[in-house]
Amino acid sequence: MDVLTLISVLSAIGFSGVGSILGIAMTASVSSRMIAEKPERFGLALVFTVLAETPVIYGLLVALFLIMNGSNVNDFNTSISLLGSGLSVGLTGLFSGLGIGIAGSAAIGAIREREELFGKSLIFTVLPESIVIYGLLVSIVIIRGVGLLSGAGVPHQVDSVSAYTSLVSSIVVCITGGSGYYLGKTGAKAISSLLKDEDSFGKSIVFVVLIESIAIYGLLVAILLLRGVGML
Amino acid sequence: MFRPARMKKVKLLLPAEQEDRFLREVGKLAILQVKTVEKNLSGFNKDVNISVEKNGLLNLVRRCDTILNKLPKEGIIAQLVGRGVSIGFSDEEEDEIYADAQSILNNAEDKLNKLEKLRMMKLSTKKQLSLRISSLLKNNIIVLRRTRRTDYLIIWEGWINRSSIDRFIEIIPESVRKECLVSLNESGVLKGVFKVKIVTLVQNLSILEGALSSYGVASLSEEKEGIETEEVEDIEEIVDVNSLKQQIFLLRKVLLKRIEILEAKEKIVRKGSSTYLEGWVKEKDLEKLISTLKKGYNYELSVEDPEKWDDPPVAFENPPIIRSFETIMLMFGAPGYRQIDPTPFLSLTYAIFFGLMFADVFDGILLLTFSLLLYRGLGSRSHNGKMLSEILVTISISSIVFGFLTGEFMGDAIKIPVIWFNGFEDPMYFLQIAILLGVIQLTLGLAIGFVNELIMKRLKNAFGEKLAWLMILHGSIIILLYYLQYLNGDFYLYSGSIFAASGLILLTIVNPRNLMEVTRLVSNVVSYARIVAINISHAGISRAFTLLASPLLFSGGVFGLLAGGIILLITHFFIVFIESFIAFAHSLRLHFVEFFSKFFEPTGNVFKPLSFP
Repeated sequence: MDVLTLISVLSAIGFSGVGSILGIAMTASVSSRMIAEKPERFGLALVFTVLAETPVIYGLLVALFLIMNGSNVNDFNTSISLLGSGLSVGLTGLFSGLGIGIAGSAAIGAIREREELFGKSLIFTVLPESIVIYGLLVSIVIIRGVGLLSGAGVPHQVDSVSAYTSLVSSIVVCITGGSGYYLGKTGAKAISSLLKDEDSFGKSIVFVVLIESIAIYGLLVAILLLRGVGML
Repeated sequence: MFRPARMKKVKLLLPAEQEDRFLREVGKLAILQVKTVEKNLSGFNKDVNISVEKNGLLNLVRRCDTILNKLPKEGIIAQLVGRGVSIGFSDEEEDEIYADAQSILNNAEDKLNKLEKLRMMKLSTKKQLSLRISSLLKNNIIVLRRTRRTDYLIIWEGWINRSSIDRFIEIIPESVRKECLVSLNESGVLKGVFKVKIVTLVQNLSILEGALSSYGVASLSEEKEGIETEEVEDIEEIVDVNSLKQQIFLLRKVLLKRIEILEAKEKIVRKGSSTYLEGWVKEKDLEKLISTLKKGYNYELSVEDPEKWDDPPVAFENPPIIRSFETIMLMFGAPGYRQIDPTPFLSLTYAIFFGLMFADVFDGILLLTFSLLLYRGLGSRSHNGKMLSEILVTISISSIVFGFLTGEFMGDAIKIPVIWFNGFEDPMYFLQIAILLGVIQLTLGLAIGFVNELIMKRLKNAFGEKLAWLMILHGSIIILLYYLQYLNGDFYLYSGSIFAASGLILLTIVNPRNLMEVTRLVSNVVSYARIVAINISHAGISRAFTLLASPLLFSGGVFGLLAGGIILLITHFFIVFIESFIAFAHSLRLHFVEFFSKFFEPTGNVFKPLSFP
């Protein structure tokens, strides 16, 4: 396994791991405070903490694929593509974890007051989680594009254009994935406004989703770029 | 099924003395929602004392809750899958319990205080004992107590300092040393302190006891402790936690029923000996109401259709198999009385999306097993628990079906034929399917929106918004398919462009501000790509765990097969736990954000009849 693939493994698990650590730390601390008062809501609090763990699971998944098949990689272009795959799931995982942490802790605060807000506040917490899913999608497309997912796990010959396009498309997803953090912040505000007026949900979701659409555009551009070079 | 149940407004005049009986009887049938009488009828007034009585009862309910909170609770697993006890009561029993409410609560609070005292006592006894032992040990005194005596043997247990060990062996007289077993273990809690255990024959008791007492060994009196333990157990017997819990549950249920009746009474007006009430009844339940009234009531009833300005409550009439999905819709809100009920569409697409994201036969079966346990446990305790477990049963069956279609069984651990396509092997095809499903759902949403607007006679919105969006969506898709070379011929390009452009023009004419949302439509469609990502992550994690277990599975030995199987099973429990959350939440998101935003106006109030099951 060459240095670039190793860095790819590192960024896949490392960045997403930090995201999950921060997310879990935020949600878990609020959860433990809540279950001291209302132990019967343990299950609900657990949902948000588990959500914060998902970025690292996706990071782990990509890292495992890279480790299992990385020994067959000895071509620079393939390594550059794989660097893209590690970065995209790692950095989106970082932003996602942060966002889930912020929105999730607000959501737990809301269900401490009113249990019936669970469904609506879950939506606001799932929004930042979408970011890592977009990152994962791009990662998987790249890993598959270089031929590591199918058959014996031996990579195709990747030309330099495809390699740099993969890297650029993953950087696009990472940059637009920065919206994950702000999705968390606006989501938290929207959740607190739910406490005042539950009917505000339909309207506030429009504002929050506006931020998420930036990430979706990023995903769209990445998919089109990858399709352009035949990775997809 | 696609529209909320038709409602009738009823106005009823009754003799005041029949009011209570009537409310109880319709409560048992659960057919009538009493509404506040808005008109000022001359001479008719509301009874102000009712709210005072209601507040009194609410206080009692709060006391019940406090008691229930203080009583020991079951563990989380037992709460989820342990069967609940259903509590029913007759009218006479109810009256009896209600009359005794104060004494039941006082009695329970008394017992609770006893329980609290008992806990404190246990704690302080333990604390005192440990303080005494540690102070004795500090002074290098060996602490022993006789723990058991059988017909032949005596056992002492105690604590000893490291420095006192040699002295301790010397204490035991030569004559009995051969018949003594002494064991010393380092105590994990205190440094330098050993746990000591002596076992000897009964005939040596007096010699050994004499020796121990003459050599600075503190003996914790066995008798004294024994008495204390007995006292503690006695009090525990007095407070039977389970029966207390059940009693308070029952009282709480009776009180809540009373409160519900009082809430209905608050909305009713009275004049002299007559009572006047208004309410909503489902059209199909009207017969039941009339036949109840015919059983000995002196009544005057008028039945009306809801007027334009009325806002009748919404009751849904879905077949049992999809009824549980109403809970998901109600998380968002209830549709207005005159709108379409989206539950049938939602139940279908929810099951499909979840099934696609969580497509695996084995994981589906695991989830199904858990859902059935949940149905038996939580389902018997609460209405929402029942609904949730029914939803889980449906969607886990869907994931089993999609598992077969996509050839996923524990990931790729067990090979089964792929009937349709495998998302992991062919993500590009899957992406097209996901986007297609998205377009279908968005079209459905806009179509429902169009019909809703037509029903409410808002033609401008129907054509200028919903229809225009439909045209833009499908026009752009035709253009996209042309560029992706799925459709050949310039006809498609022109027709798509005309379609989309006329939609845009319509949108601009009616409300130019809506143009801002064109980009949102793009993000709505692309958002369905998450179905692919979540499915692949599920399949990928399964494959990674299979790889972990495969060296053991193929090691050739029975032990390896067993260990590998156990690893696979545990990891799949983990996958089901995590991935089902994610698939559930993202299906919810696709419906709330993408689907509902096209038509849903949560303006309705759910029909809540007086109901005492």
